[in-house]
Amino acid sequence: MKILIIEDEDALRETLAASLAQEHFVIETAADFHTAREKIGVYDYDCILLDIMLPGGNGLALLAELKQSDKAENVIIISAKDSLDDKLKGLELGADDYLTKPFHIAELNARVKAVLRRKKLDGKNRIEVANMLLDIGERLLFINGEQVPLNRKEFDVLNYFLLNRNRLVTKTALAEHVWGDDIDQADNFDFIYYQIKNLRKKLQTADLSIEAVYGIGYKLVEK
Amino acid sequence: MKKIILAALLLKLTDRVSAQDIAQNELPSLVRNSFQKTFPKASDVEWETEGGLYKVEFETGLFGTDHHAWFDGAGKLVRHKEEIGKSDLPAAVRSKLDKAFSGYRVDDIDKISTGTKVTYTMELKRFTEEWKVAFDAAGNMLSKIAD
Amino acid sequence: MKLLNQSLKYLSVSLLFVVSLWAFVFYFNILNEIKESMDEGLENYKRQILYKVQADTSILHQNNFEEGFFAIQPVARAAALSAKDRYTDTMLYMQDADDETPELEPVRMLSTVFEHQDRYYRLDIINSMVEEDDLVKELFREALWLYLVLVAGLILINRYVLQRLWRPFYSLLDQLKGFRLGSNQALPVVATDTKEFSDLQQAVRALLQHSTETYEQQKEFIGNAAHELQTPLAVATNKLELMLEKGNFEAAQAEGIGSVMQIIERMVRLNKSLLLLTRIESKQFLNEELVPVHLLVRQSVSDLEEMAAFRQVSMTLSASATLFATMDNALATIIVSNLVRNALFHNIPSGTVQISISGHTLTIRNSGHHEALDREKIFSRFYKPGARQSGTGLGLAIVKAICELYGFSVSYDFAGGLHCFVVDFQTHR
Repeated sequence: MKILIIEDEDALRETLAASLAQEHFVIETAADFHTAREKIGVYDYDCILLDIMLPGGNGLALLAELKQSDKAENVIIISAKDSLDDKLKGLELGADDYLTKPFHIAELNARVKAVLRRKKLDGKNRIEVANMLLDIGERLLFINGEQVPLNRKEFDVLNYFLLNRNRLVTKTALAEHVWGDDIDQADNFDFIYYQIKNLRKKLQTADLSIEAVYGIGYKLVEK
Repeated sequence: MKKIILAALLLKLTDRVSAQDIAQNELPSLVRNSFQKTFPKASDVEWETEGGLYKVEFETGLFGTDHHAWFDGAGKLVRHKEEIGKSDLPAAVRSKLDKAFSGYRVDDIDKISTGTKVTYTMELKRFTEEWKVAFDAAGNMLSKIAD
Repeated sequence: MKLLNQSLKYLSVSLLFVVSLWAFVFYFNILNEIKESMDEGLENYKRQILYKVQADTSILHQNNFEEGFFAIQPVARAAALSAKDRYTDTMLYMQDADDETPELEPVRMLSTVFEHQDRYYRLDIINSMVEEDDLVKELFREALWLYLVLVAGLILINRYVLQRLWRPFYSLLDQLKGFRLGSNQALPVVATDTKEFSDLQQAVRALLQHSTETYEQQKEFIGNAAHELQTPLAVATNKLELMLEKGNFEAAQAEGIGSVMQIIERMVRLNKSLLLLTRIESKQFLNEELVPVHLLVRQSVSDLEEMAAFRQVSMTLSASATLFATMDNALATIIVSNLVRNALFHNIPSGTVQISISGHTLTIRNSGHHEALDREKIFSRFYKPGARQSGTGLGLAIVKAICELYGFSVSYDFAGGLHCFVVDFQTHR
């Protein structure tokens, strides 16, 4: 899996690269418009993270070029500009997703995985890990072939963890992803803990477990 | 300028000592009514007191013939002086003038009536000569004074 | 009081004084004039009588006024000598054409003395005078009429001339009243030839222009500042998250990093809210569609069901009707979600959230703090009642900003121990 990160802010670019490297992806980076353009012209990437404001040109112009060669569908726009215009234009040009800065690493991971999964699974859309099977389309969980009933939020939480397997998912990232972004998280850590507790009960027979990390977040690991 | 005004005021005051102007409504009714009866056509009437008499100056006629008249307190006309022309002189006076003063120019003729007595005064001029002369109605010269 | 009426008031009062003064002066002048003309008449009459006496001595015996307007009486010489002509105002019993019986009438009398054949006589001549109180009455009536006509004239001038003259001013005022900063309205303009008004207009336009520019700059600044903060915040969050994943920290260290992350998280939410406000105010949401608000409410309630159950708050939704609003879908979602979350999070254990939809209104009641919140401040930015620390203090401000954008009304009330928010999705413009 080859991923190109086009981002002019050095610190952010390096962080993103380091994070994605943990997933054993092949990472390439570009800090400006022209470098990015060259790389896009030469190689094919499975996923491209694209910043819009770039030294030397607008990221949307790159997107337009990608669209011409039918490679736009695996682009995730990452922008500080949460403007509707850019979002609409980006999606119109075929971008797969639009992520507004700042975002959690877990969120980025999930989005990248979602792009890759769509690309590879050809619409089958199910995840098999150890003795567990998650049918994304039907929103069903099977452990050892047996269906385990999950409510809507529990399914979302589990899915998010599966997209971030072996990675730290902070409570805030989880709350934002599952319950919406302007949630008052300080008040709701108890609620998250309560939700996780319920989910753990349902995963008792699974070979995967949700572990607490320093009280800041959780990690889905194989037993 | 102030001095001139002051002087004029002083003159006016000294003027009033001998002859004092009086207003119409301060005039005794007898004098007023007598005057109005005697001279019904008088205009530009100005009254003053003079030597215990009421003196009036006024004009008559179209050309403003000057009159001076003196009334006593009971309204009796004491004296009347009237400016007249040479043609208004009695014939006797005129012939006398032609005889005694031919070649003189006649000026300022006044007819003065005092009670029933009438005299005529005038100024006669020739070169540097100048006389003030008075006649009675019969043409007798009453006085002749060099002026 | 309107300026026009104000000026009318002052002018009327001033005119009252002027007309009164005029009437006063006019009265004495006219009275004087009447007397002078009368006196002249009496004088002429006197002359005629004195002339007549000379021809007809019989009139010397007319010694009272019954037969005419004069009376003659003999007087002593001494008295005659000191007598002067006198005009006097007196009263005599007379019978006018309009009187039934003789009554006291004012007369002007000339008294004089004359001599006839060495005897002295006193002559009194009278002429009937205008009655002064009649004159006063008449004059008062005339003055009153004059005054009324003047005031009526003023009112007419006021209504048709001044009103017209001041029209540009009122037009400008009306436009100013309707002017809102940041609403992209055209600056007020009036057509006028009057220098003062065109000066005023210029001054107002210059001021508004300046204010608008300042307002725009301020808005832009907030927007830019929030914008510029996004990337550094992203770096900070991501670096910390990565550090936590990789490093082997002791619990205490990790806890420290965790609390820093929470603070950053708060900054992120604040920043996002500020950006959202800026975008609402600069009208970046132009995507108007018919939004089913009742469905958004249902969605929001079901999203928060578990949360509510966990917090032991009972949430009820009673929708008697559907509610559609013409607006941006994202903003409608924000209104609903902010209000429902607000009601849920600022609640108490075993409290309630009652949501109802009827007509054009969405009403959300919730238990919570036992006292009413400040009605004036509740929708203002960064208002945080009590000791609450975690919220951004912008949630309700955003709701208010969205409502203002579309001309909806949003209000707060506290009744029966419940905080009540009502949004009327009907445009009030």
